[in-house]
Amino acid sequence: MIFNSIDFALFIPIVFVLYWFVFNKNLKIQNLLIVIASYIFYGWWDWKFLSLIFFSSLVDYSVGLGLKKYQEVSKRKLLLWTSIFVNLGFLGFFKYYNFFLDNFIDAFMFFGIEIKANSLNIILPVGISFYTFQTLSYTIDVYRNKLEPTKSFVAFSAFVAFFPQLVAGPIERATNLLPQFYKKRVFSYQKATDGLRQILWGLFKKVVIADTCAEYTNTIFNSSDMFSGNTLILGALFFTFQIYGDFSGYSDIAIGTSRLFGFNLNRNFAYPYFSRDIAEFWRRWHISLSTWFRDYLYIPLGGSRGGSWMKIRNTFIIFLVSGFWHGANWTFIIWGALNALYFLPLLLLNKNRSNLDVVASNSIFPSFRELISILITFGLTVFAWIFFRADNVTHAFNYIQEVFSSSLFRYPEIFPKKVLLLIALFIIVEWLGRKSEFAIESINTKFSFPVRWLSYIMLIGIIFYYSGKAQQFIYFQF
Amino acid sequence: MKKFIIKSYLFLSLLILLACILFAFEENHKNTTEYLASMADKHQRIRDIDGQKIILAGGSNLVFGIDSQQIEKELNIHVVNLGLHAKLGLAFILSELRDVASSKDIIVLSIEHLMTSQGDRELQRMTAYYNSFAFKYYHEKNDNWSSLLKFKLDNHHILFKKTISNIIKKAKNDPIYTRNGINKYGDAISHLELVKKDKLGSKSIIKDNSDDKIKLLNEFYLFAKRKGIKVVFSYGAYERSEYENNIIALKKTHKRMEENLNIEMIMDIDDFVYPTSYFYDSVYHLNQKGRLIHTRNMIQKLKSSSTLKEILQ
Repeated sequence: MIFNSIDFALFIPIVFVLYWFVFNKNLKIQNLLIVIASYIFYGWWDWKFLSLIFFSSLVDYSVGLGLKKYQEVSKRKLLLWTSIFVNLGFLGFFKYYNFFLDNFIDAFMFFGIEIKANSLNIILPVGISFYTFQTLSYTIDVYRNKLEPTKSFVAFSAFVAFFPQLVAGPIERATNLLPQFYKKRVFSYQKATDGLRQILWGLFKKVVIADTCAEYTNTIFNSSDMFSGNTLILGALFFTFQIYGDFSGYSDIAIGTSRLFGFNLNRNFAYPYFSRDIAEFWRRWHISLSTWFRDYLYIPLGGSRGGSWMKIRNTFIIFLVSGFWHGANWTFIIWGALNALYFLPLLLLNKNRSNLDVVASNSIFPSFRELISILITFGLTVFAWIFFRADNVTHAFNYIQEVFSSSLFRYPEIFPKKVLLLIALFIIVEWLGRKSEFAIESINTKFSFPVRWLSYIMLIGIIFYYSGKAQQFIYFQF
Repeated sequence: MKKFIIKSYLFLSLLILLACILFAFEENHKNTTEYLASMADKHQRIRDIDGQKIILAGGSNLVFGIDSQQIEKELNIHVVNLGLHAKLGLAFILSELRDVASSKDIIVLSIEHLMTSQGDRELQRMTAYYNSFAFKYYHEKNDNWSSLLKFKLDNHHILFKKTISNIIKKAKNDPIYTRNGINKYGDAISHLELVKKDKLGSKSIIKDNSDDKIKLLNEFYLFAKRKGIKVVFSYGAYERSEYENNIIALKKTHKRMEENLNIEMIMDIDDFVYPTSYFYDSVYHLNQKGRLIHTRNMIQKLKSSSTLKEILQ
């Protein structure tokens, strides 16, 4: 089930009514309702893969109980590795099997040895990378004694499969989300209306910005050899806004929906395109994944402690793994490596934490220096997205080669003024709302009741106007 | 909770009220002379003809480039020009044909090079907005509640878009692309006396997408064979410089078609390629002169078709 569908529009009020009006007296039944609703939500796409989620939940729940029971290091390590092996085993098989097989064959071919092996026709279960990481955070935190293992299988299953964020995050930590299933949820008017506002803004980002940009992105990237450098730059720009609108829109809808049910999820995006350097960008883009890698990979590897060589190695590892997490394609690995290269100078010069506050926090406009920093960071990001979007590495290099050819100075073949104007307006709204969690959050305090309602009606109208060409969320494929 | 429910209820009521006002406004101003609405007239003509008929099916190259009356006169069989818009896609057009064609009919497919197999969903929805029966040509075959609900919402969505467009800028009445500009056979005639436009539209980069098309066409061929319908295939009329710009992809497509298509191709790749002066406003839309020549060529090709030999002799 996708958020921008009629199915979801009917599903959510039904679950809401059952949750708050029918089962509100009993926490266990309320949690069970979340599990059932989540399984229906996921099963709407393909019920066969529900067994994977169930099995993952069962293994990690048992591992959690085992970790509580046994204090011997060897047994605890065995349990932890069982959890890692099962979860990453599923992920590896469904997501990376064909990639490794193909590269293995290619490597042998390079040395003149021909190996005959057939790729498998594997369907990638939606959201497998997200819930695998979420459930892994539980066993690792229990192993590290940061979290008390849960005794309730229902609460744990609800944590793993929580439908608002099941298929595309934010990747929640067990330390944040799981305890919320133990406590009785109290309806908060403020929280619910904030949630609805965030859902509305998320839908706008997805339906209006991302899906509109997607049309042009697809046209340009799918026939990139036919277009001039100028058009290709526009294509990369459209993808830049498509992926932001798509993914941050999904996160907004997920967080907003959770609020309707009395839950607090972690923020996943914080206006990343207004970042003044790449380090800041990575503190603002897909925050739940970046912090996951920081806590469960980067820090255990030694983090930024030790000498320069250690820093360089760890930085590359985390960015390469992050790229590989996105998909079994060399394009994602290059995208990761490129970001590591952007990031390293800041780390080595100890400037990776220079921009921690909100840009232009005391003024409407950024200073000239800030503006230049934002534009440079944005330019570097756009460039890296070319690899992310390209079909393969050759496609990406050909694309870049054409951008820097003489055709760069031709008038673009595709120049949709209305869409560019729409993006410009979107940037303005995001800029004005950059101090809030989401751009239209402060509508509630800044405007009177009629203006507020008029704004909501206008936003709904615009979303409905643009809603004809629904596209799948990009991050579902990861 | 009470406050939340009351406010949500009020907000939803206001939203529904506003939507009703907008939809009522559009329903009263629904432009039934729209070009796409002519599909209903073409279907009506098919129903009105008792007995064998030639159905010309494809995109707007047929509407603008064929004199159906002339074909009817020459071949002595009733003709219906079902062509409407290439962007409806091949699957849509074949689905429409499955719905309207009867045993012993002759179907002449005249498919533009730019036509994709699945077409443009927005245009399909717009077509169904004017011709509600066309819903089944692009939706899943089993009309469950979900797809019907989606269709209703699609309709409201188009209504909404139309109303907003009408409010923002009054839609111009195009004298050419209108239902009234199409004669009883289904041919556009309102452009015939007009001068060729300086710049021809619909220029595009053609990509080889023959695999999907061949699959759909061969499936249709089996259907037609079962029902006793004769089918022949041709490309639509096409402007020469545009043909030359896309020649590599076109030749690739043509080769695959020749090798894999079960339907007879009544023409060679460049038989319906004409000079710029034969076109009216796009590289697919012929003017009076082009229409005359193309109709003549089409009749010739139909007469020499091996599939139709027995019928047309």
